[in-house]
Amino acid sequence: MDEQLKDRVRQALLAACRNDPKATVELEDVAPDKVAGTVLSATFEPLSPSERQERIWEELDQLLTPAERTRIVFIVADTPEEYEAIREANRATG
Amino acid sequence: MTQAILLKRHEQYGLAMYVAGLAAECMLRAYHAPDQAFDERHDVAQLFRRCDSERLGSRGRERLRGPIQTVHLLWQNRYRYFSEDRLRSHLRSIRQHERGIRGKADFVKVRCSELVDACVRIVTVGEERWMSN
Repeated sequence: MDEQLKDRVRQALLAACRNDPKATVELEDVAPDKVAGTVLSATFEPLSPSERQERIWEELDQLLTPAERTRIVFIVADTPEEYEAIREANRATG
Repeated sequence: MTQAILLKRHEQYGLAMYVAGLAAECMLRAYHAPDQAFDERHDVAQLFRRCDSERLGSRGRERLRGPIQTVHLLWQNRYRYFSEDRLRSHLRSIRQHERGIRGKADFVKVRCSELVDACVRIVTVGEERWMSN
């Protein structure tokens, strides 16, 4: 996967967190040439799920070309608390 | 989805949420890319990532971002075992009991409506794309 693209995606996602110093971004390769990821920040808490996606895509749209945008399959935008609870539930139920 | 909507109307929120999410999950599995490994887990974000991009289309993927985030946040396969009290407690634990809740509105009812609407969207977009392919 193109590391420069990943860097720009990471940069856009951190900007979507309004530079929350505790925000974290994890990106993963999706074969053959796409990327998916998770961005965690407490700044998402007051936002609805759709608003979260709008916020991250406002930033991604600014930093990426149309062709690059099609390489992003999905970015989850959670608060750290939600992420832990969901991960725990997925572990419990398989 | 019809059953989920009927259950919601009858204020069976936990079961309505479970059934709605299940319908959305089934639609995502219908789009599973043949070259991707089968994932038996019920992780809708992961299932969405593994959808066949060509069949779903970039516009379809774009339209589903918000609904998928909603289902990811508000649905779990284990809801089928949940009482309404357990569901209420779970939604509180992920702090979904305050956002957008006005006055004395029941947050379980509000979250149920939000989830059912998202699932309707996923199933509708999935059906539209399926028919056009």
